Amino acid sequence: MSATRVMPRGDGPSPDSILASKNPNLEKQDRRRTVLIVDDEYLIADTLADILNDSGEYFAVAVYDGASALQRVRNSGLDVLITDVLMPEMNGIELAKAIKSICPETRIVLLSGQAQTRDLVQQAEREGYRFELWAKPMHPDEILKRLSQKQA
Amino acid sequence: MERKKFRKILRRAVWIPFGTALLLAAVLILELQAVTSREKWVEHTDQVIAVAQHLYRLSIDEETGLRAFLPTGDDRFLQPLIESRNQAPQIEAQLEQLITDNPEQQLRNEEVFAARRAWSAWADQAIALSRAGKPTDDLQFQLRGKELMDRYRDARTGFIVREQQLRDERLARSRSMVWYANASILVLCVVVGALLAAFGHRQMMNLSQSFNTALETADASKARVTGIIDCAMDAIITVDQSQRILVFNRAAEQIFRCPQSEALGQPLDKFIPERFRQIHRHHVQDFEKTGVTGRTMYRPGTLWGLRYDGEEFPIEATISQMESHGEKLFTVILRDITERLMSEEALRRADKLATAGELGATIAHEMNNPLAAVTNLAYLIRKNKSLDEKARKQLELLDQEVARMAHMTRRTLGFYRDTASPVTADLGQIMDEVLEIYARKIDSKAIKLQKEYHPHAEATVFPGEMRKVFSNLIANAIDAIRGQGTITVRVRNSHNWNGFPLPGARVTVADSGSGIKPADRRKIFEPFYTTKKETGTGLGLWLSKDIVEKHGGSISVRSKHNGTVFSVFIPAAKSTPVSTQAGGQRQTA
Repeated sequence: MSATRVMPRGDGPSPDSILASKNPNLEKQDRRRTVLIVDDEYLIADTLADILNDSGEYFAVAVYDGASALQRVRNSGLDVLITDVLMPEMNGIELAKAIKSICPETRIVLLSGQAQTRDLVQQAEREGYRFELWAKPMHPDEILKRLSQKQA
Repeated sequence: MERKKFRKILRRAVWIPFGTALLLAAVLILELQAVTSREKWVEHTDQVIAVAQHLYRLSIDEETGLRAFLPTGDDRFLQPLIESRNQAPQIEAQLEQLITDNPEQQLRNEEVFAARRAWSAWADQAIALSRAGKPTDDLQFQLRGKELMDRYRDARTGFIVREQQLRDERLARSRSMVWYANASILVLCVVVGALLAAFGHRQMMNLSQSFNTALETADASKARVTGIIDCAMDAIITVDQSQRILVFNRAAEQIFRCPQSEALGQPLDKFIPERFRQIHRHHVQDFEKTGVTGRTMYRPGTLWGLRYDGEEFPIEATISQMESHGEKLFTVILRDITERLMSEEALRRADKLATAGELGATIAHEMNNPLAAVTNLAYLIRKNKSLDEKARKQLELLDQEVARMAHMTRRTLGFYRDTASPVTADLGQIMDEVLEIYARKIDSKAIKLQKEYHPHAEATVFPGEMRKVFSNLIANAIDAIRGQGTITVRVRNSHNWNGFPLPGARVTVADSGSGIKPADRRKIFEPFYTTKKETGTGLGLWLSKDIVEKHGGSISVRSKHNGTVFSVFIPAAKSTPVSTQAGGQRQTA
């Protein structure tokens, strides 16, 4: 039995994901805040990007590692970064710090399923960074609600 | 009493009477001797008198002979005279010897002899005259003869009289000696008897006292040992060679729930479950053969004891052996390890659960990513307009279930962070958060939930800790209800019921379950007590009580056959100064 894959897993960006460099409707994008979603779990990154895009308020892109994320941010600015913390090669906090140095205005949200990340965030706080730590899994409604609110 | 002292008393008891008897005998012998010697002297005197009289008779014979001879001139008449003269020297010598002790009599005797010799000389003269044919009847001559004879006679008589006086004297003395001896012996015997009696009495008293002291010491010693055995915490049971119980201390009474009077004399088997009796006997026999003084009794697995009421219970025991007055005694010292095994078991379970908890945490960690994906997917699917109503509804439920899973994993990992120090919080709000978690479970069990909240029922708490307490109470309430039922939750401002009336908030959770038995009501706050044998840690209420008390509050329970109510009071302010996060120090009296 072959099933039609609605979502590709692990093959790279989904054709449904709107990439900034390929979308002709650039005017629409201006009203929406740009969100970069970084997670080594493709399914999480892709679905979250779809959810944010469907809401109409955001222009979300999913990437699966820190390097790609940095590349994108260098090309264009970023309003919000939503990133997983525990990732191979570059973890979310390192990424966040790097992005902050490129684009200081970016709101950084760390989305993590591990409780230990709290300590890492506190450590970053001591270094002067202000990151938000949200617990995975978080209901999309809650995510949307929090994004619409100002940073805590 | 020490041996030395006893031997000393023994020696005295033997030698003193013996010595006294010897003394008495000595005195008796001396006195007898004295009497005897007196008697001898009397005899002596008699002898002197007899000899003196003999001599006198001899002299008379001489005179008689002469008197007959002189007129007749016949030599035949001189015979007595000649015989007397023959005998006299010997007897005189005898007399002289007899009176050597008496100088006075010796002198007299000399006189007597002198007188006799004078008369003898006259007699010889007379005889010579007669033989010569001359006349002897001259008056002067005869008068002289008579004079001499008289002189002799007086002297001799005087001697004898004196001797008789002496005899009387000596006899009297002898008699008095006897009397004296009798009297003195009587007195001596009485005195000695009294002394011996007194002495004996004293020895007896000493002996009796020593004996009593020894008895008392032995009794005290025995009492001490009995006391020690009786206040020992472990059961001490001593049996003889045929396994009959000789000692059964108080701890044994308590452990086996059997009075001592019922146990003494009974076989030890009575307190061993039947299936182990044979094994136990073998064990004891083996042990006896080894000759070892004592060792722990163990078999693979637990040892079991049998209470008087038939209940079996696990024990830990040691056995020792000793010989006393030729009989062999075995002593078993044991303790009831029911509680210990129970707490070991509970610890093992808690340990298992801790491991399971860790496992759960690992699993929860792993779950979070898939859960995030599923959450997102469900959300996206719901957005699909081509769904019919039924599908939409189902997706809604899916959404809720996934949310529930998410709650669970987050709670497991303690992702709800607690505040660093106590804060003033509305307990109603905290309770609502907890109830939300259990909402699904309450619905699925068809339990009706009633809430009665006062607004702003505030207390100073660690919200995370309070959540744990409320979570515990709600979970217990849900578990208590079989089938249908009601849970009533009240949150209101209140004061505590004992001590100072502190202001605070009171939360009560009431369920309509079947209640808690009175016997258990005391135990439910103890660690490791649970009615949910497989899933319960037995620690929930214990921890909750700990948390509540650390907040300065109190937790209590009331229960009847148709429901249970847990009541928690938390003071509005901690009774010790608390530093709040912002807004300065809070000082309380």
